[in-house]
Amino acid sequence: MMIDIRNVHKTFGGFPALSDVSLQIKEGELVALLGPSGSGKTSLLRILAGLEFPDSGQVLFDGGDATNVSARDRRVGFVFQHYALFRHMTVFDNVAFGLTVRRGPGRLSKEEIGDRVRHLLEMVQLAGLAARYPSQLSGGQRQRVALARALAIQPKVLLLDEPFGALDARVRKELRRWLRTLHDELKITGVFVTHDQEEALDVADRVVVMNHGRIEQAGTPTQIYDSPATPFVYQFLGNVNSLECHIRDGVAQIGSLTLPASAYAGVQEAAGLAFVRPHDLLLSKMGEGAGAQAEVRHISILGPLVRVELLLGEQVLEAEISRQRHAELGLRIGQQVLVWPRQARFFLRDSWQGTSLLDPETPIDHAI
Amino acid sequence: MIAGLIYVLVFGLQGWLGPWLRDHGIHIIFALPGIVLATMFVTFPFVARELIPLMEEQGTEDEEAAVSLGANGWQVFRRVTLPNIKWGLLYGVLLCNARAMGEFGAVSVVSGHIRGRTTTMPLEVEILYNEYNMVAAFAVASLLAMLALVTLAVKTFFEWRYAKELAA
Repeated sequence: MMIDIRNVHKTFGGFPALSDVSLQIKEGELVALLGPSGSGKTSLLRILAGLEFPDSGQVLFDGGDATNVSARDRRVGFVFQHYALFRHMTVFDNVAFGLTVRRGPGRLSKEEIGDRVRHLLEMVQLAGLAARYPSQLSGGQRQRVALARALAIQPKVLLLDEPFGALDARVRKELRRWLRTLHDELKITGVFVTHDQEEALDVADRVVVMNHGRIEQAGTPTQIYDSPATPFVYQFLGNVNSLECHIRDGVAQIGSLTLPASAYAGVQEAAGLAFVRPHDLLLSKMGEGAGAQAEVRHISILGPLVRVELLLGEQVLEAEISRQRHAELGLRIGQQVLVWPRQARFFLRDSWQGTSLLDPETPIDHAI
Repeated sequence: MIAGLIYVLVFGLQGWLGPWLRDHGIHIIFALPGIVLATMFVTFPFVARELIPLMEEQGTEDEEAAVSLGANGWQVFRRVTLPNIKWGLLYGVLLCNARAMGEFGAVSVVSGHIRGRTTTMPLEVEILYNEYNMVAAFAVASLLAMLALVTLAVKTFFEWRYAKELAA
């Protein structure tokens, strides 16, 4: 199903959870809503599910206005972060719930319900556990039951709220690969909320980065990672060095490092921020290459990579180099090296326009 | 007592609704409905006190899940909410029942003490005692005490069951 969200606003007790959000989701697409706690991603998902209603704006399903359609009539599968399984029912009854509450012409016979539930449980690899209660299952199994239950009503769209948030790292990774495969098989339109950028980039066809109730950027994982549109997206996705710089006539000055910033050729004199990914920093021995002089402050070995903390003027930055390169350079703490960014992006302070940088003290999740 | 007085003021012959009720032949004060109403007034907070924290702790996710699966209001209540609060509700009803058996003040005001028709056990004890019928008074009081013991036993059972449910 195609979803069209038009200029949606939503406030909770004076706090704007969503302001002027517009987004289109194509048929069969798997979209990730990515953002920090309190960015409005869960509110948007709940509005899609009909569990919340926007103050203004519209939600269209396949071109028809669904803004005021109740959750009950939307045919939307919703998977909760904490599963919300009915604890007094067996796995079978949980999955069958959406079918047994159905009234009128769409009602299935007991046999049909049984067949469909068994088929779903096979699909989520829980066929042998139909008679168990949710309390007898592991977190990953519960989440799969929740998914089967949502799929039982043959929803037109599947919505998942932090589906893997409560699971441990290994199960999470396994389950998200599995979700991706399942999505490819069923070709159902899906939207999931996450604050884990790796998860979003790994699973989704398209990632929508949200912050303070607005969409910062929407694009494919590659677009989002390689060309972030705002400083926020830069900081939120992956590790990044943000460095104070001065921009003058198309040249950016970061301490003693001078870099071309051709996009700002017309700018006379402005303060800005430069963003450089740690793996885009090249290190070389003094006198053996280009770049600015920096001091090695700390070295940590992270499996195949080595993270080097450098002091450039008064600013600290992190570089990631291979083990091999590390050996070639023979780095020691206190050593002077040359550092050169392969790639950097600049933002003027004046043009941030409401896109604030990532605040480490953002409110805890589900504060709304 | 105060609750009983309020009922008398509202439903009594000189009360706000008194004349209307009399015209329609409805007896509340000094009749069974009065006793029931007065008892409900003093005992319902027990159920609420059990259920409100329980329901707050459980949140609304289960109900939201049920609605998004297509259940209507009644189905959500009967198949999701009610089973979730089952033990809390039973526990509340039990406390309520214990209080109702022993309630004296409010019921005493509204019942009218018509023997065999509008007395409750505590009221019967009072009447018998005032008639210097000590043996009968103590017999009824003992019955009441035994009922209290039964209630205590059932309460302990519920607490045990209910704790297990909550831990699950």
